[in-house]
Amino acid sequence: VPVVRLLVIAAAAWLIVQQSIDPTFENLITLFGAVGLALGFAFKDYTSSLIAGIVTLYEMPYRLGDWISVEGAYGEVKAIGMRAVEIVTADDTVVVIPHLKLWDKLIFNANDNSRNLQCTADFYLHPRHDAALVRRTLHDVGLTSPYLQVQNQKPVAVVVQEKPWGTHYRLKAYPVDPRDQFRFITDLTVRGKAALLELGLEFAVAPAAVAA
Amino acid sequence: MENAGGPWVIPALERCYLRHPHGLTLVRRFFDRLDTGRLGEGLIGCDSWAWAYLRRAVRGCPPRALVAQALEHERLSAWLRQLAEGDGLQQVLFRQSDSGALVLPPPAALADAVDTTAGESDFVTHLAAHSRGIPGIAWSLWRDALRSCPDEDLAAEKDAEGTCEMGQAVWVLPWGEIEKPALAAGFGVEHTLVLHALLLHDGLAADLLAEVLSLATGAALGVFSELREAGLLEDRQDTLRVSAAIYPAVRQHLNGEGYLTDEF
Repeated sequence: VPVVRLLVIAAAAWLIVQQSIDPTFENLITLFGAVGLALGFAFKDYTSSLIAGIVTLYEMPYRLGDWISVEGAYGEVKAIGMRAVEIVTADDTVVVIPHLKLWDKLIFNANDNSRNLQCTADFYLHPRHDAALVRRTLHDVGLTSPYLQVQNQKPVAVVVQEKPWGTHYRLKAYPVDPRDQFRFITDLTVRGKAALLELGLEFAVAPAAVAA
Repeated sequence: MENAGGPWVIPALERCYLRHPHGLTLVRRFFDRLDTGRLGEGLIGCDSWAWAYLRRAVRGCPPRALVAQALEHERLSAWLRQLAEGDGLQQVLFRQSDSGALVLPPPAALADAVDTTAGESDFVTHLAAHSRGIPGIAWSLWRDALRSCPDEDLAAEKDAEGTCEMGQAVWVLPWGEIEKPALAAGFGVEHTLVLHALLLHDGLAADLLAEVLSLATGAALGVFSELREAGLLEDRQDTLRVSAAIYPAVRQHLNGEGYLTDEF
């Protein structure tokens, strides 16, 4: 901490105040009131984050090891401080998020202090095909992934949705370890594509307007 | 596949499936037929790991199974004694190498003549617990613990007393001194997946294992050779298996990491 610099600044400010205004009781009250107001505005968010930090202790919207998403930043909670929470994203970047986001932003917690984190692999197919066959095939792709959580019998589900440009399949399942979620999604996608290609199916290509 | 009249037997169901998108069809069809009752009565033999997986992955899997009882210390002692006698060691005593305590009960013929002052060892109790009562695992550790000579201190003591039974005793290391294989630090996800896949299939050929795990051939060979060098894999008749000695550590590791384990 630059103590000397702070002392010099404080002494200079005091000299300026003495030179520019008459240091009567009323003037000093006014001056300190103005300074207090300025500091209050300056530290408003800091104080709000500290109070939100206390709230997180009993509301526990996130804990160490949770995978959270706040305003587009998604990562694993690595540290929770008094003022902010630190997450590490999949790109190995640390993001510091002040607790005050708790007041008015949506906080998405993907696993909520458990090992159960649902992952989704998306497949887009040309609409002319046997949807039941594709659904069965993708279900087996999920069931046979080595990353799949089988012990706790979490479900493997295939959600099918028709779009104007094709059929959208979402293969949803849970990995053994939330930290393996990206490996798991990659595995589902690679094996799913291979299985669908073996069935001779054609993948959908979104029209330029939709892709944009 | 229809009932030909008599009871049928499938000795190794784990050989009828692969954890692969195309690997469940046969088992699924079999269970479907089984459900209809058209197959009549039969007996299915299955590895416990494969059974745990199939029970969860394939609908229609019979809910109940009969299993051989795990060997607790009394049964394990009797079995190890039986093995020794089968090898022509009817008159041999198994004593702990540091204290001389009896590890296995003496043969009935020697029961009255045996010096029991050193007491009984709890080696087999530890062995039964560590091996989860699985005979093959226990036998592997048992063989590693056998010695032809006692510890130097005990040998000197026996010589001084003139009560040395060297000729008729096989010495067993104390439980605490046995080197129990453990998994090395820095064990990667790929290594874990390989071990898990091998257990779920009761061993696989290297090319099938790479197929099941969607590993590129080069990467798969690298992982296999690392595991083989660490003594975790055995290669018998072109089939890779988890070695018996490391099995308890592997099972514990998989269980701790949340992977599916067998229920026995």
